[in-house]
Amino acid sequence: MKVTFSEYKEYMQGDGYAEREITRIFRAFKAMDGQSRSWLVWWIVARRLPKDEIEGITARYLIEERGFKPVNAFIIMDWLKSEPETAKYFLLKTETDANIGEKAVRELEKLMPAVQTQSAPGSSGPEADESLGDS
Amino acid sequence: MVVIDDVIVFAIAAGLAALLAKIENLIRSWHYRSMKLPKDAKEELSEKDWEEVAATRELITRIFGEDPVESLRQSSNKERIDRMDEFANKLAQLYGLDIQVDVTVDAVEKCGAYNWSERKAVFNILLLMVDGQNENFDYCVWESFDTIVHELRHAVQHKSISEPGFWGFTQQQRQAWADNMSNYISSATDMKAYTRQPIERDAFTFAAAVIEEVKKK
Repeated sequence: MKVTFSEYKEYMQGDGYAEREITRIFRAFKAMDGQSRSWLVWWIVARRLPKDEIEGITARYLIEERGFKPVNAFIIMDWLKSEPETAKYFLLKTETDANIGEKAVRELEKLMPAVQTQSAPGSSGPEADESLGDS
Repeated sequence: MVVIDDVIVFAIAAGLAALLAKIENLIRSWHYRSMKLPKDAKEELSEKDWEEVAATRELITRIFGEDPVESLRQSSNKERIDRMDEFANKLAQLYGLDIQVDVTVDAVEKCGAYNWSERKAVFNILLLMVDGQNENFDYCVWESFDTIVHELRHAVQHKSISEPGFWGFTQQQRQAWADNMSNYISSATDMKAYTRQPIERDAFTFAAAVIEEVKKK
């Protein structure tokens, strides 16, 4: 079972992710183990949530009780496997909101002209047929 | 300004119950009381930062006494709101910030926000409307303090970018924060990456340092 980058991208765009987030998160999943990648693949292909429990919680809990988007929930589940103490610490933090806004960004760009953006000129994203999942 | 009756409205009580119900098992099973921000998630704090951590601890002691959890446990909801309002406003003054600070109680689950464009910090202290006998009352107190310190640290970062020399941050730090603002990752899209970006990592570290210092007393 696998999904190509273009299939993944179509799903992510439908779930409201920005272009630069789509590419960054794809690379993050590429670096995860097979189990974590399979959570995303099964979700995109069949909308099936994993039954796996990590540190006592499931993806379903994160999505239905805590309000995380499915992809974010899989990232958190993977984080609970790789850095359990850190992930648990942050999962018990209360929810906050950072409203940066265009106005503040424009002001900052005037103050700090060397501001770098993530999409550096010449950098390229994954190929459309690059895949996640079993090869 | 805070406007609320002594009686907690139904929506607020329901919002609070819903919020706590989602995490109370985890607070218990993950041993919240012995939790600390792991070292590898921390940023290096400067000497000036540590001075401000100590000053923040002193302000908390001045307003809430040596044991803020017990002090707030004994307070009415109105007193809790008034004291947190006083704390948030005095802390903004202490940090040298010229921003608007609002303390509210709302049934929504977002407990704090700093608006960079409007230079305004809003704190929802819903968690402090919990009954003093609730087994997670200490969690509610520490998280409320943590949120206020965290969000005001964002305001400090913001001012430091606009005013070189403010709090003595290095050019490298200011640049990293400015770069981060243009590439901000929301907790709603990627929780792990959200905690690792420079402005959040710094704010989490500073707030955790304050809470750990207050708990030491």
